[in-house]
Amino acid sequence: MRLSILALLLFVCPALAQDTAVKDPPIAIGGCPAGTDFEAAGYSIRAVKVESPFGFLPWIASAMGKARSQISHLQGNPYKKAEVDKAQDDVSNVGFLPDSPDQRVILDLMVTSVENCSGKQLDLNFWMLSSQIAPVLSGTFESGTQEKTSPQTSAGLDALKDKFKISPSAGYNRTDRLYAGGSAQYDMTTGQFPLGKFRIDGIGSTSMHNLEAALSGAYDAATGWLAHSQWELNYQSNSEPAVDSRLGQNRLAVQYSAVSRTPILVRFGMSLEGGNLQSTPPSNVPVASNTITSTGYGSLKFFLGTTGRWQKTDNVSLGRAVPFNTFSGSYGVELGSTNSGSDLSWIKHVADFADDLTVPVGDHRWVDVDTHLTGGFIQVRSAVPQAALFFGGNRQSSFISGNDWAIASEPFIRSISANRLAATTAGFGGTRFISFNSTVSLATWRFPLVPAEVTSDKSFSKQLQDAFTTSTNLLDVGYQTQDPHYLALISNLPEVQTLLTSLKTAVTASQKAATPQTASLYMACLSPIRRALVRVTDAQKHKGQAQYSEVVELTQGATGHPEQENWLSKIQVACVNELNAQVNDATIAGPAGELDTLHSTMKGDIAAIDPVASHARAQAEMMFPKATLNTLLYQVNLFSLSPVLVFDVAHLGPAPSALGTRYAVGGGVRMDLVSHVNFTLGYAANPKRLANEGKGALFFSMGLNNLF
Amino acid sequence: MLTPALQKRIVIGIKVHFVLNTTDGLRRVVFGLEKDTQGTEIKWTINFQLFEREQKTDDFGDAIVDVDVEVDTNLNDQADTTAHSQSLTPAQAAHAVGTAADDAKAAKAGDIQQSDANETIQDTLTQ
Repeated sequence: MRLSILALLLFVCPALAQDTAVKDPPIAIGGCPAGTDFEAAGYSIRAVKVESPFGFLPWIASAMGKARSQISHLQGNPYKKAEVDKAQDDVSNVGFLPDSPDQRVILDLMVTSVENCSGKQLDLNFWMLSSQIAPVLSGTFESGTQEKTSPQTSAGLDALKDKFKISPSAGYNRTDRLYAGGSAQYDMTTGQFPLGKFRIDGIGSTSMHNLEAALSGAYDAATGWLAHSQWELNYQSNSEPAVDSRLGQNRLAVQYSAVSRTPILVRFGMSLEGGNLQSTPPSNVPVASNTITSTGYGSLKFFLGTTGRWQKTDNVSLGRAVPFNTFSGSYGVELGSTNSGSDLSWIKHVADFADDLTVPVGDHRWVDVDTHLTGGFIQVRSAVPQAALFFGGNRQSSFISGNDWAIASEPFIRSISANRLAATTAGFGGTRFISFNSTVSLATWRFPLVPAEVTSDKSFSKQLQDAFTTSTNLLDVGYQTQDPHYLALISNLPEVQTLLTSLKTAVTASQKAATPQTASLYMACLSPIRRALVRVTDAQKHKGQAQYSEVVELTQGATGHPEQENWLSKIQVACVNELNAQVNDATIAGPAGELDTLHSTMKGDIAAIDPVASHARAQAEMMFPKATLNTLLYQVNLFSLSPVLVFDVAHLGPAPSALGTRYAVGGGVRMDLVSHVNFTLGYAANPKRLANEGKGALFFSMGLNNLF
Repeated sequence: MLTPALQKRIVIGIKVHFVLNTTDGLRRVVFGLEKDTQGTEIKWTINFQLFEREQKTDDFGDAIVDVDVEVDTNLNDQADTTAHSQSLTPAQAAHAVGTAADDAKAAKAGDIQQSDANETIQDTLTQ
């Protein structure tokens, strides 16, 4: 086994070496004098570099290469401020992200620095970070974990360009022995066909296999209460060893799930599946009369849950690491049948609560406390397939398909090999369980994703906060345009246009009889009519935020400055109070009076719009991108090494404590190298074990991030 | 004469592009924040750009509004930076993407005087 792990590490090493290879010839390392005007001091540029923390992604590497070639002419030439500024623009214009209008928030950050100043020469370095953050999905429990292990995904860098992903994985446990496999995904999303992604996951060893293939699609709505929907056609085949036995399943499923756009995110979904479940129980254990070893089956699953993220995102907290917590609570029910028709053979309930608290304890150092509480219960109405019962051990399994929502469905205990927590008073496999798992890790040795020069710059965080505030306010206006009173307001626009046109015609006709005393009054009346017509015409061309200011400023002027715009009031003053007071023309008085009445109604509609509700909605929507960005900038590491402590307790029933309850106490180490690999290696002792169980179990898992 | 302190790396520029797409996907607002260091002089510039397109399948063309605002450097060192917010209120943000953008476009098309459009754009700050 040791040799196998060593072989795996050696397999990873070339990948690790990619980033550490010296690409440029060695140069004398030296600092640079602070406060120097490098152009005036006569420095020249020895080398030019373009870097990105996500440079390991092939399309980012390609963009970096393109940027490098555009600015390579600087190398060997005198340092000139204007040329360096232009090079900054050239690098940022290369486009590190694809254009994605459906993403609400996109952020590009570029840092230009100089280093190794010696012999009047310096190295010029352009560092680029691009990100795009999904507003709702960045608030889920699963996304919180993803930010630490795969920040490039949280940053949206593999959302569009990463058409083909391959992520190998490997691990070891006593039941499965050394296993290896991985995940491959091809994204062919075109927007024309509802199924855009094909994913295949599989692991195998000499004693087991687990294969899952899925064709899936998703839709993100910009507005409305349903923020995200996804659907999937999924095939699964697995065969796993248990205690002197095997468990297997082959099934096809269709699944739908969705996430709401509400202050507390609500997730729900259902799946319909059919196939067969097989088991070969130990020969010395009797099979209960209501248990079937191998059978075809069909089932309908419903699942419901909530998930969220708590993180201070006020003006002060953006710009420094803050504690954050993600949580989820899920409930699932499976209605299963072993017979054709609508007979209900068994009902399985699972409930899963998860919480992940991250507390910063220094610059890019944090303590992470991950806890899970899971329980399950099966009501056997006529019969249940043995493979559908609960089996515990150190492998996690989910009640539903896909990676975006995980609902644990079996007791998880790291001191016992997979499927080896199986003995109950009813025989082999349980009909009820409860398990508690906790993992504490401390990021000790780390290398931050974003340079300290940026994260320690107070002005930077202040400017970023202002940009977020403006974005939130713009979104606030967008939500005001969905208010029923606003919709009533804009329904008057066609009539306003008609009345303005009639008034203009009447004033123009009356103008022909103007005297030298009234000529200026006609011009003063026509001017606001023309401006109002422009506003009302533009307002009818637009929707949303762009329309809002046209309508509001036409009707009541600028906020706090009614003397600006406010054309309908100005028309009353210029055309009725001043012009028609002199000329007393009934053709002017008619449309002007109707316009005044309509104007009063519209002002009433504006006053009735609820700005508090719209502001709350905007803040709720921008909270998650803001929190994610804060985490990416101030907490995420490119590399980290963390000691890990684990404690688990699980009970499988029906069984007394001596038979069904187990503990796991242990520790290990976790290494994350964002660009390539993460692995956890540890050992958990089994202090309260049965005679045929080991003293504990080694847990080792390794995942290689996308290779291509 | 004192020798300046040596630093391993000196940041001479920070540039941030913050892009916000409107809910209908037809307008895009870009806030550019740029910190420029030359010697001991530090300058922050805020750039506001607005793009528009007819349909989501079209590309965004040139910016309809492109405004640069230089931040008073005296504000940079003040501890209470929140008192000097550079963010736009809801009314200002709506004005920027609505009336200001339309007048800028109308002036470009020759429908209204450029001076009128400039006045509307400047009104953004007094909303």
